Amino acid sequence: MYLNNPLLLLVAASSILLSACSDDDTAATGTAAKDVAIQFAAKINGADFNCGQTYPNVGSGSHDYKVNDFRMYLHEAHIHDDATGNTYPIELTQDGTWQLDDVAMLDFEDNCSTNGTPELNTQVRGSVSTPATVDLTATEVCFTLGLPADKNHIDSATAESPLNASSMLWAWQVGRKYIRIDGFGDPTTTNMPFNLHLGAQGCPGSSPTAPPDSACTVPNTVEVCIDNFNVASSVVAVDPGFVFEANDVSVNLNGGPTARPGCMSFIDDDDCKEIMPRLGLSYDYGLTTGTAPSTYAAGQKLFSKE
Amino acid sequence: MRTFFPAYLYETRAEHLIILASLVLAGCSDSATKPIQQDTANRSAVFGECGSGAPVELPCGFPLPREEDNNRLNMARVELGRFMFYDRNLSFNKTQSCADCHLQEKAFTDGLTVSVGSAGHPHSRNAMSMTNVVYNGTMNWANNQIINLQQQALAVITNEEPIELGWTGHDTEMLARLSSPSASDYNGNAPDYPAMFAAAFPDEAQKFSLFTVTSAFAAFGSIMISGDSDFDKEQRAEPNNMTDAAKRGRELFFSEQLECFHCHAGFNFSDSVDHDGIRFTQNSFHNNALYNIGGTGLYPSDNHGLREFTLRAEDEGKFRAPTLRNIALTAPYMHDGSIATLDEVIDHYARGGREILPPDPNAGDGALNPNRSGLVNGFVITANERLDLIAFFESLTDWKFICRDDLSDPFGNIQKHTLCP
Repeated sequence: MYLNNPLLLLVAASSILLSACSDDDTAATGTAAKDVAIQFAAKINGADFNCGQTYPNVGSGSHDYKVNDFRMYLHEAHIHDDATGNTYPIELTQDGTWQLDDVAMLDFEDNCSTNGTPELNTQVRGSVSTPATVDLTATEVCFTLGLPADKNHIDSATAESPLNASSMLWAWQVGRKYIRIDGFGDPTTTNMPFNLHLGAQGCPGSSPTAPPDSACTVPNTVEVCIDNFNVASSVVAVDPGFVFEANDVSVNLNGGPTARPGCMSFIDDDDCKEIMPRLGLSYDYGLTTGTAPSTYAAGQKLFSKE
Repeated sequence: MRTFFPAYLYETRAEHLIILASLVLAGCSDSATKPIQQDTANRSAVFGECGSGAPVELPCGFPLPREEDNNRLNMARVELGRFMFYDRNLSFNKTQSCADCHLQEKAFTDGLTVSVGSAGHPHSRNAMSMTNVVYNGTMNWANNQIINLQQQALAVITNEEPIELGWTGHDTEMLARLSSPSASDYNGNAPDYPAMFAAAFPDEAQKFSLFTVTSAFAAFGSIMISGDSDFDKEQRAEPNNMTDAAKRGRELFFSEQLECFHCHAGFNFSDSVDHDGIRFTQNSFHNNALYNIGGTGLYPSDNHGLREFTLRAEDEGKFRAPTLRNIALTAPYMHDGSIATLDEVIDHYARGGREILPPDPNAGDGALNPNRSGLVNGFVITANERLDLIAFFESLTDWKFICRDDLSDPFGNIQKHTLCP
């Protein structure tokens, strides 16, 4: 039967691979630590992402969009059991590179722009201890987009990887870019830079090169949950095409070509009005005039089950 | 068709194969990727954190430099490298040392639009500051293939376009100048290179080789570490002379209006950065819109940037963002020295690119260069803000570094900055 169903075969194969090197422990509570690798796949409007490729019909007005950078930080990955409401943290493998404590960096770009890094990472790896009643082939996986405050503002010179990735830095005060997606609208004509840089806002302090004096008023982190998820085989699609659906990626609002290119999270950036709600975040903090949809009825649109 | 692979693999969609591959890779190893890892247990004892008492104490908060596995530092090697760096007999025609294009008083630049090699031929590029070179992701303005100081030293001594130190075809003679220094070359006072090489390379059977020579040059370059400017002292809450104007300039520099800090990122003000804690290959290059000859995106023919190495059209005009530390001392600016002052650099970025008008053969509007970085987008800046920004750049000057004795000329040919004590 496997021969007729390659997917099943792959699931079986991966289970074998995973179990072959796990150090499963059955604790007194009856829970077992299982190695897991949550897979992510970058997309643009449903098409597989390739660094440097131009995608048609992105955003309002159906413009071409060329994407050169695609990286992000997540933290607090966990399994949420719908039946009981219990959560089970995924203890991340401390690999010295992509994962540090409960933070992971996803990196879908391979330096196509000469602005990034050739290394790629499309998964969050660790182990989770769940009771036998939790079916990891049909569960809910959750994580928080962005960085926790106690990691966001540490000094990049001495921070451990992946928090010392130079292209993900803002200044200390603001912290790091949770998401860095860089691209160009209509690359063969107007070639308008249109980026999405998500990060904390309202971080008090007297110096941009020192950590904030107290907590940022707008952390801009958001929990995302993907339901009906088979931990061994499902894939989380990450698709900024859906986030940009109401934006014209061939123009920059607020000031023409010298405006901040795309949505950079800061106040008074009209490019963020439609984007932030589609990340599951409110842009109310950024509005100095006018109104915008402060929430998007359907919730965040960046992540979905593939 | 006979094939080793079972047919079902061919029927499987590509992404599933990718997933399988990821799982295989992820199964047991530390990472599916190829991080550059340094064996930290095998570091030299040269570098240490501030207060550590190490021979070279880093500025507080600076990361440990990466050390090449085959080039462990020792202080004898560093001191040997200093003598060689300042030794004019190490150019074939005995006219130039490294230091003649890398003057300490100018943060190891030469003040020229483009440097001139020992044979008198102009280089196509401006001498780069050696400030914190040990932390560069790559060396040079736009060479993604030279990734450490030892490779860089080899490039300088052997370069033929133009000739820099002119070793090519003469390495036997040049090595002999080190193994048997001629007293007449040094007015009777030759350095004892044989003893210095013996101390620097106790484990090398062959004391005089391109390996040992480049290793010593690299050792000296690696201690050119600068992190004691007024900006740094302000960061560390130490007494300093950072002015209010410089602090306002710092706000501007780190603002989303000016966007400077994306490319000039982090502790060394460059996103091309490497050190012992870095696990990614961060070799960044950017097109900052200096040229757009004939509207075609081209740069002048002697400076295509990264494209010269990748041969990709989209890499035309891409260069490494240099550190901004000591930038006030390193005029003129840009890869070809084509901007004279920091004020004009601000003009360039404020416009989002430079426009060159006919009949200049390089005529074209850099702001329309198709390869222009998405963050070189132009901005509006007032006259006072401009002064503040320049004050910030000046606050990055590290006078301790500019005046350090252990970086200065042991032969006494090259004077220090007049402001040095």
